[in-house]
Amino acid sequence: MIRPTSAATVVAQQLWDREQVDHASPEAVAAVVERVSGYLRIGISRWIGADGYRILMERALAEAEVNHPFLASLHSLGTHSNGTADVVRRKGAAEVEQGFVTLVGLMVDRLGRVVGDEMAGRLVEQSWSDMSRRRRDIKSEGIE
Amino acid sequence: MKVMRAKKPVARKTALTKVPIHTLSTGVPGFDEVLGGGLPELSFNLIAGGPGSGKTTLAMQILFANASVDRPGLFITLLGEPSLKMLRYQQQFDFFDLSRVGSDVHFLNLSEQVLAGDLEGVFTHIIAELDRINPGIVVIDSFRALLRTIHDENGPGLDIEHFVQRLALHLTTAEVTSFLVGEYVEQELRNPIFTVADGIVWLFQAVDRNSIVRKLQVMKMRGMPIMPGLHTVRLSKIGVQVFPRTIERTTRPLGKPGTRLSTGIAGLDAMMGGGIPAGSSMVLAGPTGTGKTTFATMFISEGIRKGETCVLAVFEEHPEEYLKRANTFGVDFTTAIKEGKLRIIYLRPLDLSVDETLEEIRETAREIKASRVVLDSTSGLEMALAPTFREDFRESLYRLVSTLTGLGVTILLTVEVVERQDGLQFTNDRVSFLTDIILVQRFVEIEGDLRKVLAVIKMRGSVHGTEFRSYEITPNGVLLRGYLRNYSGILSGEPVRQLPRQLSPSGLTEQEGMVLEVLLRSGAASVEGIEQSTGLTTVELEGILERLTSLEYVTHKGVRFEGVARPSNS
Repeated sequence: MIRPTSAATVVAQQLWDREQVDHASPEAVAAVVERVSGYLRIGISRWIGADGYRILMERALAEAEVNHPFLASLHSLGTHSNGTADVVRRKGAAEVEQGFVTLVGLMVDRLGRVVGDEMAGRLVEQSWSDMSRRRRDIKSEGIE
Repeated sequence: MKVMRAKKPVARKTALTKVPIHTLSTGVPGFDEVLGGGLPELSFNLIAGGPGSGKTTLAMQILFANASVDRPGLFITLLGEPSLKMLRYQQQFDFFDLSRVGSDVHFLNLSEQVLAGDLEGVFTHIIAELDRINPGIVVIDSFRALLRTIHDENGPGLDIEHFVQRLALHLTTAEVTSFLVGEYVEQELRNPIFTVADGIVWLFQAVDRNSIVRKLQVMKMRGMPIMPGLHTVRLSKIGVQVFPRTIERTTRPLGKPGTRLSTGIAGLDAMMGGGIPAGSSMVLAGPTGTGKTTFATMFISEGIRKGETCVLAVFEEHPEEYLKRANTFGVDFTTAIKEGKLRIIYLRPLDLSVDETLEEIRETAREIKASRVVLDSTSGLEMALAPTFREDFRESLYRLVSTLTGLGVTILLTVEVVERQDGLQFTNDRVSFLTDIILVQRFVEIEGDLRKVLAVIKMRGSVHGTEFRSYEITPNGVLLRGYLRNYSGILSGEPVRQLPRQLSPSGLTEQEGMVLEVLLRSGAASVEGIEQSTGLTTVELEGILERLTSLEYVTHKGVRFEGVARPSNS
């Protein structure tokens, strides 16, 4: 069984936990999967390029799929919301969370092997904070 | 209005204020000097050069040096080195502070837009990033690849010049200092980007036998008094270091005017009119085996003894060997090093540039406030240089010597020379012109004995002795013996004894004649003074003075002896 390092798992789990998921709602779980996937893709692509991110994710997915085959159907992350929610309904929120955290952890792990764990952690953190800032901006614009 | 303007032209003139151009420090050792003080703020620059010449590293180093949380640095990768690899390798440099990534240093990869041939998309992304993070410094790497890709996609009709001008204007009006990095070749100098750029820095890399030689040239930097020419560049763990070709001379020498430094060799100071003038340069030239290193050791040892600090740069022997050799003369350099009085610089041979050597020696001399520096030997230094740098050796050595003497340091260079049948080649023609003092050593054969002799043949602005004097290398160091006054043809290596002169009366030994001559020339001298002038020991002098006194060649008053001139018996 291929698992990410504990440090990478912590990073991935933190990303998930920050979203304060309502496990009772498959749509809410699916939205978190797509949101986290989206900002990782946009954020990390900014630093290492879309190709760089895609290749890392493909490799991570190939490893994570061994234990979580349903991840293949989530690979279109961020584009098929209904499909993701269906997977959550079928597999359960806990397994989707576990599989997704493993996938992100393996991606972070691979990234860390190239640019160092500290840099990888920073890139992930930066992606999250960029997205949070944008969400705040959108919210404040909405209030105004 | 017209009348007022005509009447107050001066007032109107003073009311106009020219925009000041502030400079940024590049954070690259030596580079600010080459740029004439730093990098002009808001300038639009190009860093060009071949693969592996250090373009990306130079740009990244400048970025880290100038990025702040308020005005971050933005590194934009277009095409070329993949960002993943770039981040992997660049973080190995000391300047790459991981803790600043994401806060004051940002990276952006636009390779997808470039590969799509979307020039406008690239432009829009860059402008959006300028608005988003408000950077103070931006690097775009590789701009050359962008232009090539766009050209391939769109054909030569695309208005690249317009694109470059728009980009330059946006960057400048966003108050950004920017760098475009690209693998250009000199044939591309007509490229519009070279016209638009405020500054052009060109990096070169060449493999010369087993040495990699990197150089940098600032071809243009608007508003700055740049240092022309090629400057050596070294890429190491600390990043890029530039070794400026021309080094500034300090206007505040350390030595006091008129101060003379003792050579540490009894009698030699007297031959040099009282010692080596502080802040001057001296070359000691002799064939192998004449004791150049021993002279150098004694020069340094004397400085340490007098509480000075010294730098010894060795290029042939390993420092351990040097210390051992000094120990055989009773000179303890190890303690001096521990006490901070001596710094030995041993420079890695074969791929050195003189500019790097100069920088190392200059910084060491400054750091410990050295008053004496020895380069042992310049022949070894020349051999240690990369072949390319040997071509510039003489000019580089001139800069080295003038820089050190400009700092008030007294410098001794040893040079190995070749003895020839038709005379002595006094000094290596590459170095003889640049020093204030030349002391030459050589072997001569006298009555079947091989002896070492020396003479001061040049001493700029100072009276000095002109006679050859023999010397020996003893377990205590250099011991000067008598003058070779009764010989001619010394330079041939086979001197011929001449009839004794009037000042050397027959019946006196060579040493007695030497002491008598010192007394006649000086008028009167103490035993210590005679020791200094002749190199003879107190014990030797006691016997000689007693005999000269008994023969009435010498009288003494108290502790001072006087010579009595008498016609020679012969």
